[in-house]
Amino acid sequence: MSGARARIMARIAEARGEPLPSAQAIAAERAALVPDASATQPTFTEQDTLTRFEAMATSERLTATVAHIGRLEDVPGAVAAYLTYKGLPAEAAIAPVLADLDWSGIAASTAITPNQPVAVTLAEGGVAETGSLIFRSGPETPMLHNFLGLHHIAVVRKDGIRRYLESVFGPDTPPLPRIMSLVTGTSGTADIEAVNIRGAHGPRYLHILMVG
Amino acid sequence: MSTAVRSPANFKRDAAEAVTKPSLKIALDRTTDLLQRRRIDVLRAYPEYEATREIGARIKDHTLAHLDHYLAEFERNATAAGAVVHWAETPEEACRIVIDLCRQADAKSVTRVKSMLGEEIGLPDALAAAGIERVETDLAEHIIQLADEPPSHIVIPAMHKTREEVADLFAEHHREPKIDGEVGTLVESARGELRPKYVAADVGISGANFLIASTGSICTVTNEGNAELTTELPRMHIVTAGIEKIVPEPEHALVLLRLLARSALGTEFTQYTSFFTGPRRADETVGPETMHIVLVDNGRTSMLASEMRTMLRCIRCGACINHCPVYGAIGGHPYGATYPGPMGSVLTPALLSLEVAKDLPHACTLNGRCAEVCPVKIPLPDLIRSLRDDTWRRKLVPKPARLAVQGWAWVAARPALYRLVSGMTNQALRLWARGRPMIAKLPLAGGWTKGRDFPAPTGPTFMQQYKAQQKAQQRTKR
Repeated sequence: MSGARARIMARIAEARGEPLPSAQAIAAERAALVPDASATQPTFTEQDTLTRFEAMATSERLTATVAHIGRLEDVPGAVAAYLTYKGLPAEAAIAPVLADLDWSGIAASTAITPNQPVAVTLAEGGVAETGSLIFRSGPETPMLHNFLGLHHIAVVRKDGIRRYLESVFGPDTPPLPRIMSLVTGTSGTADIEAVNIRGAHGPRYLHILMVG
Repeated sequence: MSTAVRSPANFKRDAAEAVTKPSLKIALDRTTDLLQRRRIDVLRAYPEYEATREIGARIKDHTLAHLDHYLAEFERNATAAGAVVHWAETPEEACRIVIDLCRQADAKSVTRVKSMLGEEIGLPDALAAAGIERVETDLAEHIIQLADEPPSHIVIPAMHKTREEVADLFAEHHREPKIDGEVGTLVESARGELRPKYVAADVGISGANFLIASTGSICTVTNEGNAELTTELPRMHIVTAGIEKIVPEPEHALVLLRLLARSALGTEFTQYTSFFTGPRRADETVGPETMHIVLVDNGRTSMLASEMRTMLRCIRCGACINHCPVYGAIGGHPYGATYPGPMGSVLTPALLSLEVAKDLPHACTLNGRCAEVCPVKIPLPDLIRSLRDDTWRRKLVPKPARLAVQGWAWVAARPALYRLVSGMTNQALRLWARGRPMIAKLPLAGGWTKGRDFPAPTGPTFMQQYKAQQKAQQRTKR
C-alpha cells in the first residue's frame, strides 16, 4: 500500500519537473485563485436574501412549499396543519433536537422507519443563492431523518438564511460535522428521457417552515 | 451488449450498428435536445459564467501543479477525521483493496452510488467475481444493471433507453412493478424496489465529485438523494476516487459546483450536495462505523506528464457529450469504454492505450462545440487533433486510409491537378444527384451512404466560383 503511495507521489513530482514550492508559496498562489468570491456568485441584487431563498425553494424545479411561523414553539401546530391539508395521519418522525416541543395531538417519535411517511427536522440555515437548506449531522440532528421520509418538513430560522454558498464554510462557522448536506428542493431524477420526476429516493415533498 | 465484450477496438463495427437503431436515435434526440436547451436557459441567468470558467480552470491547474502537496494534505486531514486512506496505481489494485475491505466487513450485499471511477476500474465485475451482491441505487444505473448493459453516458447512464424499454425491464425484474406509460410511475416502481435494499446492505460504496484537501472531506452530488442513503445505512463506507478530484478548500469546490450543475443538467445547483468527513463519531448512534477512501491513479500521473494534462481538469459534467454530433448519432456504447463522446475520445487512449482506442480520436468532426461548452475550458479538439497526429506517427492508421491521405496530399500539393480533379468530381456528383440536395446511393461510397445521405454539391467548386467572380469584377472595372 505504501509502495503505491510512494510511486504515485514520485510520478507527480517527476511530471512537475521541479521541486515543490514552499507551503507558503503554494498558499499565496491559492489565495489568489479566487480573488473575489463575488466573481462566481450569481447576482440577484433585485431581491433581498429571504425573498430570493423563498423564490428559489418554491420554484418549479425545486418544488418546495413554504409556511411562515413566528416561533419554534409553533412548529407542532404548523406540522399538524400540513398533515391535515395533505390528508395524512397525525404521525411523524421528528429529529431529537425538536423533541422538547409540545407534540400533543401528533404521534411524534424520534425513531425513523425505512418507509417513513413524514419526517420533521431542523436545518442549521439556508442559502438564498440556490434555495438550499443546510443540514449538519449530529446526535440531535441525524442525517437519515432528512432523507427517508416521503414528506420532509424542514424547520429553518430566518436569521440562519445567508446569501451565498461561501458563507456555509466561512471563517466564523463551526468545524465540519460528519456530514454537511446542502438540500436543494425535493429528490428528483432526470434519468429517463431527461424528464424531471420528483421523489426518486429521497423526499417527494419538501415543506419548509420559516421561523422568525 | 454486456460489459465483458466491450472494447474501443470494436468502435467502427459497433458505431455502424448503432446508427441503424431507430429507438436509440429517438432516445438520444429526446435527451440531448432537452439538456442543451436547459443549459442555455440556466446560463442566460448567469452572466458570471465566463469569469467562473476562467477561475474554475485556474483552480484545477493550480491543484494539478501541486497535486502531491494537496494529496498529502487530504490524507492527513481525512486520517485525522478517522477515515483510512488507501492508494492504488492500477484498476486491479483498487478493486482488490475494495474487495478485501468488503470481506473484512463480511459483506454479502453492497449498495453503490453511481461513480464513473468505479466503472473505470471495473468494480461491478470485481464484486460479481467475489460473489458479493451489488445493488446500484442511482435510477439510471439500476436500469442498466437490470438490462445487463454498461452505462452509455456519464451523467445519464441510461440515456440510450426509451421509457418503453425501461417499462419492459421493470415489468420483468421488479417484485411489485408499477407501470402505466408515465415516467413518474416508473420512478415510483424503482423507489419501492430499492428501499429495502438500502437497509439490508453491509457496505455502501460511493465515488467522490471532489476531495477537499483542507478538511479531508469527500463531496458527492446527486439529484436523487441516494448517496446519503447508500452511505449512512451500512456498517462501512468505501469511497473510490481518482487523484485528480482534489481541490484545496471547500470554497474551490463551490466554484466548480456552480459550473457542474449548470453544465451537466442545466440547473443552478444539484439537489443533494454532501460533504462527508470521517466515519460515525463517538456521540452518534447512526452512520458507518468505518470509512475507507481509495485514491486511484490509473494513468492520471502519466497524463500529468503529457500533452493530455489539461484533460485532468475534467469535472465529468458531460456537456461535451451532450453537444457532440457523433455521440448524438451513435450513443455511448460504441466508444467501448467508461467515458464516451469527446472526453472519452481523449481519456480512453490515456487510460487504456492508443493502440486499442485508435479509432476514437478520428470519430470527431472537429466542430469545436465540446470546447465551447466545457466549463473548465479543456481544449478538447486540440487534444483530439494531437492524438490523431500520434496515430499517424505511430502508424496506427489503417493502410487504405493512409494511402488515401497520402494520395490526397500528393494531389493537393499540385494546385492545377487538384482543381481539375475536384472540378470533375463536383461535376460528376451534381450529375449523379440530378438536382436533389442529398444523394442516397453513391458508387464507391456505399459505406458512407448506408447509414446516411451524401450531400450533393450546391454549385461549382470554390475555385471555379472565385475565378468567375474575379472575371466579373474585372469586367465591371473596365
